Amino acid sequence: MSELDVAALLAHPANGGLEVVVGGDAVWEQVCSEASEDGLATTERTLAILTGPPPSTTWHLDALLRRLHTRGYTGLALPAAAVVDPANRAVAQRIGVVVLRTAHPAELAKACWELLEGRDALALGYVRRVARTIEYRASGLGDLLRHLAGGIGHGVALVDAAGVLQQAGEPLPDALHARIDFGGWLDLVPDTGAGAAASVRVDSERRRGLRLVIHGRGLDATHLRALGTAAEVAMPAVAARILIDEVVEVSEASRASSLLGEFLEHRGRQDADVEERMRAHGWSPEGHHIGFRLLERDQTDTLDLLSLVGRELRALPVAAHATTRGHGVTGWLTFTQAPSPAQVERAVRSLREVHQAVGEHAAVATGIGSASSGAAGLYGTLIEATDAARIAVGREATGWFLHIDRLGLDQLLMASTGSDTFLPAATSLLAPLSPELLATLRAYLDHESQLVATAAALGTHRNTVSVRVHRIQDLLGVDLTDPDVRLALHLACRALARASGPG
Amino acid sequence: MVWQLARDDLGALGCGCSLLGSGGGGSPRVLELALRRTLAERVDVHEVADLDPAMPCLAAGFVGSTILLTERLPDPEPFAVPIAALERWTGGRIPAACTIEVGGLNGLSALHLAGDLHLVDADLMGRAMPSIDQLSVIVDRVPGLVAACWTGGDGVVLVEGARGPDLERLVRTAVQTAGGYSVLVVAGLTVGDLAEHAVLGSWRRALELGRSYVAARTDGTAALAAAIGARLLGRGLVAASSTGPDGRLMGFDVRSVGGPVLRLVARDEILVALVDGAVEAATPTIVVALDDLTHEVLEAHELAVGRHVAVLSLPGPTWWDTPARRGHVAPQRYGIEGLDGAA
Repeated sequence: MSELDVAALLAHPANGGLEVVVGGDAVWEQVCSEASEDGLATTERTLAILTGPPPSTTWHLDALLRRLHTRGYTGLALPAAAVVDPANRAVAQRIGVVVLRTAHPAELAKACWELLEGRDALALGYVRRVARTIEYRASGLGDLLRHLAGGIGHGVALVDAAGVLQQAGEPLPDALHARIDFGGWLDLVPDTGAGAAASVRVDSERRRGLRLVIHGRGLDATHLRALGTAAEVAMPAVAARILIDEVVEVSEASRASSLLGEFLEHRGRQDADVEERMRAHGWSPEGHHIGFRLLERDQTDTLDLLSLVGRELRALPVAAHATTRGHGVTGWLTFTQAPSPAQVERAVRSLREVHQAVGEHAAVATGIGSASSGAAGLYGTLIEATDAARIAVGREATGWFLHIDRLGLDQLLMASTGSDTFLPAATSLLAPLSPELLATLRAYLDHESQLVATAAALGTHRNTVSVRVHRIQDLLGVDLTDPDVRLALHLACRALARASGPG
Repeated sequence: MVWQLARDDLGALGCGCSLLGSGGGGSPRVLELALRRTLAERVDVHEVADLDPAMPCLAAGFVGSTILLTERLPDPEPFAVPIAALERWTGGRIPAACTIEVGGLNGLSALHLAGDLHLVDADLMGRAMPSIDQLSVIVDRVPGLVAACWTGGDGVVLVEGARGPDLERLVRTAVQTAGGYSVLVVAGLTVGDLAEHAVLGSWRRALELGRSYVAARTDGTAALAAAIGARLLGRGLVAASSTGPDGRLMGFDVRSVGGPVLRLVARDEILVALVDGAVEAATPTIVVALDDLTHEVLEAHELAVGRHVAVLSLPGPTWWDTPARRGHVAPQRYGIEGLDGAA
C-alpha cells in the first residue's frame, strides 16, 4: 500500500502552496477532502483536507482537531486563511495531529491523490512536463537540460561514473552520485538524507556509461518511480541531443578537413576556388602562418583530440585554426604582420603549452613548422609541421615536441632516406647486427665516433663500446674510419629507426 | 419539609450561589451585607411539597448590570413596587415567593421578601443565565404569566402573556430606563406550577455547596474540588485570550508546563471548557474558575491573561435534561456551534 507523509507533499511541485503549521511524523494511507467537517467520516491513518471555511475561533479549531483525532485522522490541512494560535498548536502536538495550511486545497488534494492512488497520473503529469520541454528548441545539450529541469521542477544531471558532466537546476550532491548504480537500465536511489535520484542509462556511441539523473529531496517511493518514468521518457531526447551535437561537430570537422586536404593537394599553388572556400570558412591564406600538427601516439579518437585542441587554442591570444587530418590534428596560427623572432618564440611556447595540456588527456606528438607568409607559406609550414610531428613521435627526450627550426639536418636526413629503395637496402646492410650492436652503432655515429661520449650515452664502459665497434666492423666488413662508410651507415640507421617508429 | 435558614448561613449561601453562577450572575456580596442587617435570625424555607399547590407564587430577582448594583445600592425593599402592581393586576395577594435565578447575586435576592411571604426553595434557572427567555416557566410556556419590571422611581411596566423574546426586549428596555439595573417579578404562577416548571431545592443545594466550600477552602485545590463534589478540569496560567466573531464570546487559553491545553469559552458566564480539544464541560453544566492561590470564585470578567486559575465543573441542574429544554441552554444558544458533545 502506498503511503504519504509531509516530506512527500512538500516535495510535490504542485502542492497548493503547502505550509507546515504543526509538523510530525504521521504517515497517511488515505486522504479525505471535504468542504466541511461533516463529510469527514471515521477512518484511520488519513489526512483530512478542509476545502471550506476554516473554524472561526481558536476553540473551535481545538475541538475540530480533537474530533478528527477521535475519528482516526492524523493530519489536517486547512485553508491558508485559518488562524492557528499557540494553544491550537499545543493541542495538535499533544494529540498527534499534523496541521498544514494550503492556499489551494484542491491542488493539494490532487497532489495527495497523485502520490497515493494515481501513481500513473503522477508519472503522466511528469511525462507531460517532459513533452512540453521538448517542444522548446534547445541550442545544445546544456540548454535541453535546463529546459528539462525547469519543466520537471527537479534537478537534472548527465553523469558518468567519474562525476557530473552537465547539469541544470539543483546541483547533484556527490553523496547522491556515489549511490547511483551504473550497471542497469533504470536505477532508483531512495532518500536517506542526501536526496533521492532516478536515473536511466543514456546510450551514446561515443560515450559509454552515461546516465540521465533526475533528483530532489523528500521524494517518497511513489514519487521517485514517477520521476524514473520521466527520466525514461526524457532519455531519448537527451541521447538524440548528444548525437545531434556530435553530428554537427563531425560534419563541421569533416568539411574543414576535406578543405584542408584540397589546399594541401595544390601544394601551395594559387587556386581561386579553394582560396575562396577557405575564406568562407574563416581561413585566410594571406598573412603569416606558423603551422602545427598533433599526431596521436595511441588510439585516441581524432574528434576528441580536435575538441581538446580546439578548447586550448581558443585560449590563445592569436588567430588559430585547426582541423582533423589523418590520425591527427593539423592547424596553424595566423599573424597579420610578419612575426618577430620573439613573437615566434612566444607562439611556439604557447603551442608547447597546448601540447602539454592536450597531453594530459591523450598521448600526442607535436611538430611545429617555421613562420612563412601567403598561401605557399601556409602550405610550406604545414608540411614542415607534419614532418616535425613524425620525427617528434620518436623523440621522448624532447617531450614528443619538435620545432622544425631546430631540425635542419634531421629534415635533410628525412628527405634522403624517405625513398622506397633506401629502406630495403639499409635493412639488408644492417641485418647482421643484433639490436644491441645496432644501438651501439647508432650512438657511436651520433656522437662523432667518440668512444667516451658513446659509452656515456649508452651507460656502459668505453672498453665495451670499443669491443662492440670492432665486432660491428667485423660483422659488416666495413671500415668505420672511412667518411663515406660512416655516412652510409648513419643514413641506414636513421632509416631503420624511422621505419620501426610510427610516422 | 420546612427548614430554617440562619442569618449566619448567609456567607456560606453566598459562596454556594457564586459557585452555581458558573462565572456569571454577579457577586452576592453586596446583598449579603445588606441582608445581614435586615434578615431575621432564622427564616423558614418551604419546600414546594409543603405548600398548597394552588397557592399563588411569584419569582423575584435583579436584572441588568450586576456590577452597577455594587455602585448604586438597591432599595431596601426593591420588589415592593412591582409586587404591588402585580397584586393589583391579578386581583389578590400573592403569599409565596422564590428567586428567579439561584446562581450569583440573585441567589440571595428573594430573601428580601422573607417575613412578608413564604419563601419557596426553588428557582427558575438552577444556575446563572443571561436572558429572561431562559427562565424555566417561559421555556415551558406556562400559561397566564404576568411579569412586572421596575422602570425607576415609582414606575413599573407590566407585561402579560408575552412571548419569551418579546419579554426579553421589554425587560432590557426597562433596565435601560431604570438606569442600568432593574428588578423583575414574575407572577401568575402557583406553587404547584413550580413543582413541574422550576428547579427545586436550589437554596439547599447552594447552602450545602457553600458550606463545603467554606470548610475546604484552605485545603489543596484537588481536595477542595472533591469536597464540593466538583471535577477538577485543570490548573494553569491564563496565557492568552481571543475573541469570537460576534465580539461577545471570549476564549481563554489556560496553560501549564507539559500539561494539557485547557480552553475556556465565556460570555456572561463560563460556557464551555475544552481539554486538549475535547469538550469536558458545556452549559448547562457549571464551569467554575477559582483563583488558584486564594480559591476565590472568579467571575467571567475577572479572567485575565497572567492569572493563575483552577477550573472545576459541577453538575448542571437536571431540570434542563430534556430535548425541548436543552436547546435554550446548550452552547448553540450562545452562538457556539459544534461544541455540544459534553463528556
